[in-house]
Amino acid sequence: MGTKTQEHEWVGRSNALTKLRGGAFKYACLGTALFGIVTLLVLLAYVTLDAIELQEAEPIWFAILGVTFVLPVALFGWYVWGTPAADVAKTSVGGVLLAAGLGGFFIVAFTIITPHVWAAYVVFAVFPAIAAVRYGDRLPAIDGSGPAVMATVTLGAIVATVFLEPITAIFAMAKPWLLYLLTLAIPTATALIWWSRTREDRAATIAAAATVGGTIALGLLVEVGVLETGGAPIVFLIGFVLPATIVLAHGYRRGPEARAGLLALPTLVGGVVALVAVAWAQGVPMPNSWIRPEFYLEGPSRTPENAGLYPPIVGSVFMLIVMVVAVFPLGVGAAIYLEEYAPNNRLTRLIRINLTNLAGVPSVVYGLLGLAIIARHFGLGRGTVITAGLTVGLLVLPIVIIASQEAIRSVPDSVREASYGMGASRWQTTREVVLPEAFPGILTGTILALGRAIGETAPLIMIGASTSVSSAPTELFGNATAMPLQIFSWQSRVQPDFRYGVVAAGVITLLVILLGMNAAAIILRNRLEKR
Amino acid sequence: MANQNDRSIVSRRNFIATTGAATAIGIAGCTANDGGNGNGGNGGDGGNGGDGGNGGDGGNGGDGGDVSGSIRISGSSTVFPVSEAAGEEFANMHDGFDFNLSSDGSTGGMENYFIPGESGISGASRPILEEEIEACQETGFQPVEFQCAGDALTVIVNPENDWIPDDCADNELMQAIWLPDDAPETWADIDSNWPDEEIELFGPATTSGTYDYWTGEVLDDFRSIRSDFDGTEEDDLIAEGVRGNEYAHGYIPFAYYDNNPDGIKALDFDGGNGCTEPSLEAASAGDYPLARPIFWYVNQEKLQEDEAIQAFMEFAIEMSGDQGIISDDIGYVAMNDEEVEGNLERLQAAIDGDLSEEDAIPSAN
Repeated sequence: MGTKTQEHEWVGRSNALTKLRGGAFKYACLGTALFGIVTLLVLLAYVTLDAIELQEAEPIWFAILGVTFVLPVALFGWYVWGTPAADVAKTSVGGVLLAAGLGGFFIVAFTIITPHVWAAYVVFAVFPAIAAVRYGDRLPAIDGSGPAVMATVTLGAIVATVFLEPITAIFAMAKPWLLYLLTLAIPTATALIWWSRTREDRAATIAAAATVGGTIALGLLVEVGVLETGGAPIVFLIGFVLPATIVLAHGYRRGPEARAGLLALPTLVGGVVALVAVAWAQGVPMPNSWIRPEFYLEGPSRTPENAGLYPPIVGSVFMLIVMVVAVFPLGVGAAIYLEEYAPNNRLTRLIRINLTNLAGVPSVVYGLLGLAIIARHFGLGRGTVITAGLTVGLLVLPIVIIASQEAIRSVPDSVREASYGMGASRWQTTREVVLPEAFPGILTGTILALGRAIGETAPLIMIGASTSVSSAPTELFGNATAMPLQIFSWQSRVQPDFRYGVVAAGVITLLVILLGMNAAAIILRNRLEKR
Repeated sequence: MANQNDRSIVSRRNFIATTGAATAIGIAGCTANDGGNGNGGNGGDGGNGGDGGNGGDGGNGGDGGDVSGSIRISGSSTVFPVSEAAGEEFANMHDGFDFNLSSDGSTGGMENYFIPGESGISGASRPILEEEIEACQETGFQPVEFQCAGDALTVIVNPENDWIPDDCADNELMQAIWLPDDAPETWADIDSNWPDEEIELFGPATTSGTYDYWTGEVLDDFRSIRSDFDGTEEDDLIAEGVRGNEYAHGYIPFAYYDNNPDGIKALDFDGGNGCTEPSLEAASAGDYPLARPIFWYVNQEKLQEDEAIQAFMEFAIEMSGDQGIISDDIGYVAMNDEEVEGNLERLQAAIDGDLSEEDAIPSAN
């Protein structure tokens, strides 16, 4: 007791003045922490107002909004607050939205990669590799299936690339939906079931069955002529149904009490439907939002009403694909070398220090590098998808390396030593122990780096990317534009509707995509680390 | 194969229009004004001569789909909206056609893309320079000039500015303000009755064709200007700057004034025949002294080889006479029928290879 008082007095010498100073310092720090966030939130509020022109809406519309949407959602929120159902509500809504985003990504990605090209690579590289994983160790004179897998993937990819034209010509005879069924839906479903085979997880089986069944159903609809031949619905289904079903099924399995959370989604959707229906019945106009379906389907236009973001979205995604293919192996490879193999000498110290410097080099400098070396010296062309993807890829490469290094470094040495103790070689330890453990961190770091890449503008201007492109790019050497470039060019247009409405809608879109990617990164990390 | 691709894109768009509507509603909590009826094309092009407006939607652009190819247009941000309008309308009529536009400034587009032969068409808000013609010929082609519209350069001040007599500027006053020799610091340096406050100047950056025109035609001293002004490629920022300072002054294309007249005042201009208010009518009638032509320059070699450029240029020149697009939508002076006819004849001559070097660049004469 006595010591305690003494201690207190000693720490304190605390009169009112020091307390005041300490408190002031604490709140000053809080202020600096909030400053940036609050400023950004205010700006975002303005942008959102511009994008959906809420200030133009009639008061009666707000009343309808309150009754049909806000009130039910609020009541639902109040009902589930603090119960396990709230958790299910959050994960189901978030998961389904992210799944919709993934479906959208699939649509865009398969606009770029035609089903024939996709099928060519799957049949020649992926299927043989799976066979090698399954049966590789039965081969004589090969230590494990690793070398067989590497060989089949490399060989298959080379064969598919060299003979791409005749192969795609053959596949072109098949219906696109059939190709999607055989090379996308069934393999994904099988992989899912195989991956979750060790756990009692009926969700995976349901999701797999829903995906394959849905694909066949849509294919039959194409056959009878209800749907047109395009693969978009099928591709969306495969991207959307699989994760959405898993999220919903997991929510359902949380027990009868938590199950109520699943009603969050119907409440939200029903609220919007009711809002539109009531407003329509009452003859109240909806706010003149710039975020609307046409905005994502149209190309450049001289009138703000017809201007759209479709080609830039596809351009950005195409560049992202190029980046992932180029940067992920390079970045992870470099990180593995630096963390697992590199001796601690002058050279590696130099490399380590300069990686940090590289990550800080201004993006225009990378733009110049891309222009001089990638576009000019290698002759990949100014403003082409591949030049843009590689240039921005170079820009994020150091970030990927550093993130991967940190992920690998966070794997405790005791794990490595245990592996060595079992007689594993360094390569086996890296492959079987370190990489699986570090993978969530590597994945998160890469996605966050790609999030930065998608907003880059300066290097694209340097390499001479066009600002407006009328149709979505379909080939690596085609011209493309990216979302931030298009938004920037709208900002300099004469009509105020461009500078406020269309730009705001573009900014919101870019931010939603970015936040979606970041959210996906965080969720993936949390899920994978739990295992 | 190409046809099938187009079809699948159209159906894909139809699909996204319907599912996308649902998703967008879910995400944004708000909705479209007309609820996505799955029509991929843009029917609403404002009743101007665009009868091709419905060629691009329905998914069967069969009759108009004979032009295919991709063209690259570089150059001036002033010409950009005109090029974009032409590309947009033309792409609506021809499914296989697509275009890339970049906005690099007249000089930038010329030097980086047009002269090296990377773009077939470049826009410029000033006539091509002698050395640029030579550089093109060195690369191995003849540039061909087509005027695509006219602009009325507009001198602006803050509305608080009431000291310039009759709100009317002339070359002499502009030269006094903008030329580097004896550049005045304050308005009182020009006329002692004017306020003793610092002049704040805003103008297009030196890579801009508007800057070239201003120094050449108004200041009468090509590419010579005082260095202490705020230069930008964004004409909107010039208006913004003048809006914010009582003692500011700048010059912008008429369209930027016309679309944002709040908080800035346009001065009349006296080119020797009395003060004239800037307007498209005055510019088109030839009364406004700062009416300036803006141009497309076309690579003749590519023009002769590439049928897509031929068809596009023919369409673009016809469109440059369309009041609805050029004046109402964009805010420039449309070409008159005679000029359009003349340009079409010159285009045909350039394609046939019958165009003399003199006729290729009318502005050089």
